[in-house]
Amino acid sequence: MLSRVAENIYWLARYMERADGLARLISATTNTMLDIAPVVKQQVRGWDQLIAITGNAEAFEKGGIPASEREVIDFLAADVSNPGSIAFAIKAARENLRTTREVFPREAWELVNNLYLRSKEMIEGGLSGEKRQAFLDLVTHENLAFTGLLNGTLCNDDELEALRLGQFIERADMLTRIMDVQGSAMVGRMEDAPKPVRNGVWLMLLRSLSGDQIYRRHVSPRMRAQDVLAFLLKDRKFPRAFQFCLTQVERSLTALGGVQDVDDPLHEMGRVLYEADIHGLTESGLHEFLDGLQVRLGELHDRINGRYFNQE
Amino acid sequence: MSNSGANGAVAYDASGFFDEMVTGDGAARRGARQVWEFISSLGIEELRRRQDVAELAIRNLGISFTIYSEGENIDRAWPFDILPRFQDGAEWARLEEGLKQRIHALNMFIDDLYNDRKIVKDGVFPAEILANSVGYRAACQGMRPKFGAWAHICGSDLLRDKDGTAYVLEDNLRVPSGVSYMLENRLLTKRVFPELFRDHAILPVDDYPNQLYDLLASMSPRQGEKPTVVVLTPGIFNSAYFEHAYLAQQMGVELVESRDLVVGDGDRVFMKTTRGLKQVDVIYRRVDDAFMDPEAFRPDSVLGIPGIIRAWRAGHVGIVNAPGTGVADDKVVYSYMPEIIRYYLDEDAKIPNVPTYRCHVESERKHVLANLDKLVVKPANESGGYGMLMGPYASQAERETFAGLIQKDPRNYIAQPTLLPSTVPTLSASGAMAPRHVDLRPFILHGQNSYVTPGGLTRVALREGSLVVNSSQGGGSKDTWVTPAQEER
Repeated sequence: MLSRVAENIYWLARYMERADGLARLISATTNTMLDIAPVVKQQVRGWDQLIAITGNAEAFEKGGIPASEREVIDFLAADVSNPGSIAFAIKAARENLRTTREVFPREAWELVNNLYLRSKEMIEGGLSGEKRQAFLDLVTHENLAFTGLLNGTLCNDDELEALRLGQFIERADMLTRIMDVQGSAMVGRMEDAPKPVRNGVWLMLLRSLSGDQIYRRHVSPRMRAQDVLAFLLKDRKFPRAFQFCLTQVERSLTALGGVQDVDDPLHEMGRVLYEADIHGLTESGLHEFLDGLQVRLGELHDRINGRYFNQE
Repeated sequence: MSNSGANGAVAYDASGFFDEMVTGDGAARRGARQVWEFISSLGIEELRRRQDVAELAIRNLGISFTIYSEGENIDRAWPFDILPRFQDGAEWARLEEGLKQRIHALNMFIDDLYNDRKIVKDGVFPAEILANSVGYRAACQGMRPKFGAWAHICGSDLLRDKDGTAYVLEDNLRVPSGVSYMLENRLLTKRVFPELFRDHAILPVDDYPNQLYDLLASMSPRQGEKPTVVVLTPGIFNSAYFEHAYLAQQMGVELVESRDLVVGDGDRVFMKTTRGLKQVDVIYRRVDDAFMDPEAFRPDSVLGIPGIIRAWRAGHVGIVNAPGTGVADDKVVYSYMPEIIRYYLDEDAKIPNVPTYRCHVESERKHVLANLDKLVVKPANESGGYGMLMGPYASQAERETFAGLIQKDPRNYIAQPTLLPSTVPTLSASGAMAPRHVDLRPFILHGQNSYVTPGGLTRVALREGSLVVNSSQGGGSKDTWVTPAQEER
């Protein structure tokens, strides 16, 4: 596989996964604000925090607009000039696919092109009221179709590995951000909240990752902070858990050859997860812990870039 | 407005033109009767509806050509008209022979120019024309490519004048484009008129990618193993990028840019992969000569792959079309085609040239300057319909400008009588069915033997009265149906 093509495929996957992650993030935040904020005594940080967690604070503040619900949604979902938005991610995915069209089945282009055209139309129509959820659902559903299509049609060779590599690195990164929004806001502040609300936080978090049913069957019917965190960070079978993503990344790198040149940050993350005091994280330090994982994912990306895409 | 004739059929009036679908008295041409009856019986609303279906499909499939402006890629949807162009099989068989004859002679000509120059020594082709050739590449002298093939892929433009005579208008030998749209047009038309394909024998066109791959593979210098073939594109900003990606995808080969290739040990060409360097055997290049190799052609250019011509000359890589083929892609060379065919093949040209005046010949130049209001003047080395004078439609000032240009550089201009291209029923912007002018670009492949696409890309001038069919200038295209030669049932 050409190095340039590998890089394009990797970014195509990252951008598709990013659009999906952002859609899930916005859904999760919306639900949190609707259900939980009113009953929790302390001030719950909301929309402005979403901006911070997605790493967009600086860009947003340049605009000089207050971080109200509508502005934040517009900025994160619809603002194509914001590199951290869904609209931008979809456009960038399409551009990356455009330059590698010859690698993929025709349907892949149709699917991404359609997502681009439809999401553009929806954004132009405005994302107020029920249209917002329809837009987020579109992004999530098309992503599921995209992953299914490529897993069902691409040969299990380097192209598919590059795709999975981008997908699982981005998914791991987005997971830490989604957990940060839901978890950090609530951790240590929930003692006064009624029990349904406390359970509700973790249920929302799982639901935004399509993991609530799996958790109930696989872990426990009861929503406990510690169990949910452990499930999302360490589970080896749930396809959106951090540990699962790491395993997939390692598998893809092994298939591509040269894993030993890039896998230090992988082992590092594995060690951090293994040693993590999950019970302690439900009390404090979750945000810093997740930040640490994000930094190491960044290191991993830099190494992959130097080893596979831009070798000197 | 009413657009219905007798019995509710769609009205169509092509009087004053040679129409590809109907004769002067409005009857369908040989072999086209059932198709014509079916199309006219649908009614104009139904035809418009089907046109909309096609346009939606084009948008969804992303069939586009690229315009680059304001720092953005603008993908323009491919302008397509659903009504097919009909081509009788018996006539097509003759045209096919004529096109094969041309590409054969052209290849012998190019091979001769870069080697013995017999045609110049024998006084058939003037030395001064060669001396002033824009497309001549000294770096190609003495090369003998496999099978003597230089121009492997040619897109020749055919045009039928008002008396029904089919002419070759020009031969595109550098990096001819449009074949992907020919293939897409067929897929679209099948969606739109499935009932017609069910009931009629129409020669399929989708074998082209296989034929192209076989040709490319045959140009590999390494025998006996599966060759590594690549399509070389200038990149995503090129207007034909869609086609480059499409052909690579259809053939299942890599689409590469210059930066993906490197000339390494022993003058061999490699591509950069995630598993290291991989040797390349054949390059189907969609990049102009000038931007292929800064070492050989353009020291000032940062584009291209330094040393690639060295690798080609050393026989380590096949390049399709070969560098230097542009020498024959010159309107002045075109004017010599009848002589070139006779010289190499000892035959008369099977498809006539448009009668052409050469401005570098004094007597002909005088005639041209005296008749600028009747003639079309073309520069020798432009493509895409740029830099032309359409005499009858030009202003006095434009004609004077061209008179000045011709006198300053006579070698660079030819002139031809103004033809009135044939027409095909087309859905016009006003919602009616109306005649619009067309040409036809068949694609010819040439290696050890030759292959011609059954039909080709029909380009249509969408605006009423317009003669310009180039997509860069508001032209569109249609599917082209060649029927197996048969009697009218």
